[in-house]
Amino acid sequence: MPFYAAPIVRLLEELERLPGIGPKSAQRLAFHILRADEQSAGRLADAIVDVKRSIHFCAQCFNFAEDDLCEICSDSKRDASIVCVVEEPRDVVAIERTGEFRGLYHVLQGAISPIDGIGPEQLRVRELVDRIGKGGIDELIVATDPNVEGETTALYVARLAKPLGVRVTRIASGLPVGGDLEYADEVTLGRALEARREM
Amino acid sequence: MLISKLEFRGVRNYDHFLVEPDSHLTILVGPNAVGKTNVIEAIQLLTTNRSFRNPQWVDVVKWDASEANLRMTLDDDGVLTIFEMVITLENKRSYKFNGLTKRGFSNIPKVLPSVVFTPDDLLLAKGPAENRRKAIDDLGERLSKTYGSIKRDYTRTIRQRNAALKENQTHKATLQALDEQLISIGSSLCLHRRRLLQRMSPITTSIYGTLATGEVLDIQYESRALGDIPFTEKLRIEDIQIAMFSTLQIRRNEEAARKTTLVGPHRDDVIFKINGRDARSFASQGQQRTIALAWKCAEVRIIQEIARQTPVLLLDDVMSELDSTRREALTTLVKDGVQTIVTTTNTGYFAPDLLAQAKIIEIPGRG
Repeated sequence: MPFYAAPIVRLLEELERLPGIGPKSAQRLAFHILRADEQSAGRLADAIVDVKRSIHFCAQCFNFAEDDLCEICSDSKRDASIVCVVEEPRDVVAIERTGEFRGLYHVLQGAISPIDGIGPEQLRVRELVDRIGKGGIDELIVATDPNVEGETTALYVARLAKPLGVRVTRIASGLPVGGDLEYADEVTLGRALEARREM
Repeated sequence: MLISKLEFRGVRNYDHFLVEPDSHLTILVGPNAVGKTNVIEAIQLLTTNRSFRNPQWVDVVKWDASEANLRMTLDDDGVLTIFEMVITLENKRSYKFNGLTKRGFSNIPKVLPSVVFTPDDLLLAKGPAENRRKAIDDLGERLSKTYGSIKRDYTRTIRQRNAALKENQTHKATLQALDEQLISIGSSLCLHRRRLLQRMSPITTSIYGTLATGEVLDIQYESRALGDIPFTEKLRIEDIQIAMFSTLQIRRNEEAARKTTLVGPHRDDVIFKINGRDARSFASQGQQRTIALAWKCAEVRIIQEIARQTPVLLLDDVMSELDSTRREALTTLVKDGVQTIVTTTNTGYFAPDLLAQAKIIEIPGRG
């Protein structure tokens, strides 16, 4: 791109790597940053660096956390006997928004998908089994996405957890078929949580 | 509901194409390679969001156009609605209903169903089993969103399971979960197919009977797991699940060796029998055509019955493939009030009385 000075080209390239950002959006963002004063550009850069430095995975549930344990896992008021199993940290946010769930989470960090070479070993499944092994968990609510990969993962988790003596339920009705949990609205998710079924 | 106006810009070979179809019969006539089929494809896109050509969407855009714009005015007892589809060079489709942008074709509140008949469909009876599975599944997807979502989930399950079978050492436990998925979604697809075939079968066979006197057509659903259970026997989903489960156990070693899923509705077939003889091996050219024709006419009837809407019938150059008795069957549909759009190289295939009522549109050759 000969139209821009080298530093702008570099910025555009980096922005275009972001999900949902094409050449035009990248250009718009870059011009916004160029117009802004140095302070706010610095704040943006710091925020990006800071989030990478300070955020890691929670040692217990593998959600994003600032400390060793995430805010949910370290909250003593939450019910540690019920664990909701989800695919991604964003699903935790979606379920938290319903306000219907007071238990803890376990983030698998994906779903089983042999096409993409993702099996249980690539997910936080062994960590879930270890967690159950430590005791204190009575019920797993499996809230993986209601698509083929999510269902397969749910069936896999159920097969694994049931012999360990925990009740395994699956969130049910109300979820749009083939949809991502992330896009479901609060009402739908709340109802789905209430109507969870035995697996 | 009828199509009262069609307008395309930058579609295939057309810079601009405008037609106001007749409420009964519209005949697009012109020499070969002038873009008659492109019109049929565009209408199929507007009514079903798919094309029998299975193109890359960008291929629908004219080579020198920046996008393809397809626009259709529907007349539902005097109430007009406008549906618009735009296909971009980035292979994306977007939809507008009465000027409002809609996310996805499934969010369009009013859709006119269609039945398309092309020369490829003549291979229904004797072609590969895939043609017959596709014929019934395509119909199911047009009639029910549930059918469509089961079909999509099933295809995805098969892909995942085949991938797992290829790496079956690492994916042994995953395979068990996928077996369960295969049985649960597969049995559901199997049941849906059988139910739809059960309704298609008497209509198709009765139309066949009127076209070929003295011949009896019989339709069966052939499934390795289930065997040939006649439609009269009521099947519960549990029965199918049990049958699939035991077939899966029997063929487990073979699946492991061939590293592909061998059990399930993706291996089933629809069998046409004429006077008890399997059409796959015994049907003559004429009989094959009659089966295909009877099936398409039955599609029109079943959409009327289930969707309570009369579909638009799109016939792409099939008149030349049919003799006069069979052409008569198609024109009966026209007389019954089915809006029909036909392409042909020669209007001589149509009876004079029909031709007198039809709207004939000449598509000129190039240059």
